Amino acid sequence: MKNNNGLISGLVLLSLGLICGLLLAFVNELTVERIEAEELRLKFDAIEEFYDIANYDLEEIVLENGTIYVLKSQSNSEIEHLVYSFRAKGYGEDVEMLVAVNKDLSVEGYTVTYQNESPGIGTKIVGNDFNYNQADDVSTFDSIGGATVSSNAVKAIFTEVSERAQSDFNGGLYDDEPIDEPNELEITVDDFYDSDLFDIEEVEIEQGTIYILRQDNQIEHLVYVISTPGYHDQIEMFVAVNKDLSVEDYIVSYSNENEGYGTKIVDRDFNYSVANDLSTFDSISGATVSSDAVRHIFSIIAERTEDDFGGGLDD
Amino acid sequence: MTKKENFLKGIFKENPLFVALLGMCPSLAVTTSVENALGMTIAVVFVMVLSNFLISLIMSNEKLAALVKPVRIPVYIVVIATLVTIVEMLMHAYLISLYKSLGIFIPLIVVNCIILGRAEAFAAENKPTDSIIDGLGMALGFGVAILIVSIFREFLGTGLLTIWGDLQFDLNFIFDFLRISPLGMFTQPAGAFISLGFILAIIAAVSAKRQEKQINQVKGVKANV
Repeated sequence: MKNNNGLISGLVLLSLGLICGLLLAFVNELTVERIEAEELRLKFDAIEEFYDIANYDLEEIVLENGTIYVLKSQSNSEIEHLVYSFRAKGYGEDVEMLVAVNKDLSVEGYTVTYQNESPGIGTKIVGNDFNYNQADDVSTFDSIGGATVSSNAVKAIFTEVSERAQSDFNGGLYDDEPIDEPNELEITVDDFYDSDLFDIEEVEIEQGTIYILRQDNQIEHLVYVISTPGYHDQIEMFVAVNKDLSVEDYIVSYSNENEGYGTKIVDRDFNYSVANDLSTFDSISGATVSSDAVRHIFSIIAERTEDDFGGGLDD
Repeated sequence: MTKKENFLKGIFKENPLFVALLGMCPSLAVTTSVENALGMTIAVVFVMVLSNFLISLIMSNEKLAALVKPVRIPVYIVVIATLVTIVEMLMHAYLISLYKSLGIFIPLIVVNCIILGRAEAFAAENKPTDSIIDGLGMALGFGVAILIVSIFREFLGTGLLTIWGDLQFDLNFIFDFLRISPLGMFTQPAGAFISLGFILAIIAAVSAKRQEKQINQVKGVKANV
């Protein structure tokens, strides 16, 4: 029995470890959501120092080295401001900063959101004016004497912003995002109508193909297969329209857009129900280019569908 | 020892920071503001009271104590580390600015020698109730000590006293009256050592004076006899 005492002691320690692990898992379960919400609130509070978030559509783009908060105009979805949340190696740990940049590349402001630098020395980076006023120009940067490593961390963040700000405002914002596997579906007219019931004719047009479905020589339905450039590649859609110009359905048959953003166009309800009326069209916030491509396809159909049903296709 | 004496010894006679000089690292690091010191005190009270209670509970069972004894230090560490992690998660969730401000010094409570010391020296050999009182007294003693150091440092270093959140007293008028600026050095590590040194010197001087007074009183009584 005495020989087993060490083993039993070990088992007691193991059991205690398991109990403590379970307790921690329980507390983690209780707090994890609130922690995430608080972290987000803290970040949004920091962004609010620069802009009133309520006035913009906010989009978050997660990159390998940080996050970019995109503030878009609510009226035209144009990018108005970018708030970069980047990290760089400081003296203690990583220094994390928010850098707010306006459309004209002027720097609205910057703030240190996390640092663990030497008290009284490296901590001077908090609230310091580094004389960084134009996003694409770090030549004016003023370092803090005696806090070289911490200053260099701040400068590294500003340099990263300077290298990409202009490109980001000019459309390069989504280039770093991983591209998903292309969405490729084999769609036929049978996905919309029973092809056995109709005489089907195929007409090539500049932007794609139109399948004409006739019964007794009357056009009953048109299935448009239209292709247009998306963010990375062409977007091809099948759009089925009935004689009364109601839209039967539409399917994205090929796309290769940004994962998590542009890929939202697949299976999306764009609220397009009447073929020659685009006024109800719902865009996807955060996927402007891809949404615009879909809208362009619908607009091609909207412009010609009435004429196509009226005999324009015979011409 | 009465319960009152047990409680008060941690605050005065056996104050962990001013008398035993234990737990110096976090004490010097987080005392840049009163708010940090208060936050650290809350965390230490929670951990110390519960760790003392749990360890005493384990060790007061004879059979369990016999099994735990060979591995008692790892057991203490597991208990303390669990409690510290709970405090850390709760602070992160409910007091996030304080959590950010205390940073690495919250997890470092695990290796605070006051907590491990009281677990081994007191909780392991006393009843759970006495251990709770001891833990509370010691943690409050530690808290009072770091509060004194933080008041000293924050006032001299910045001219401010940040109690909690936006509750801040601006005492810069004193520096204005003296026509000097706050001494920023006191918020730096060197200032921490100098502050503690000053406070320990004052405590030593007062204690010496009291001892001298007591000796004189005893001598007076003997002379009268």
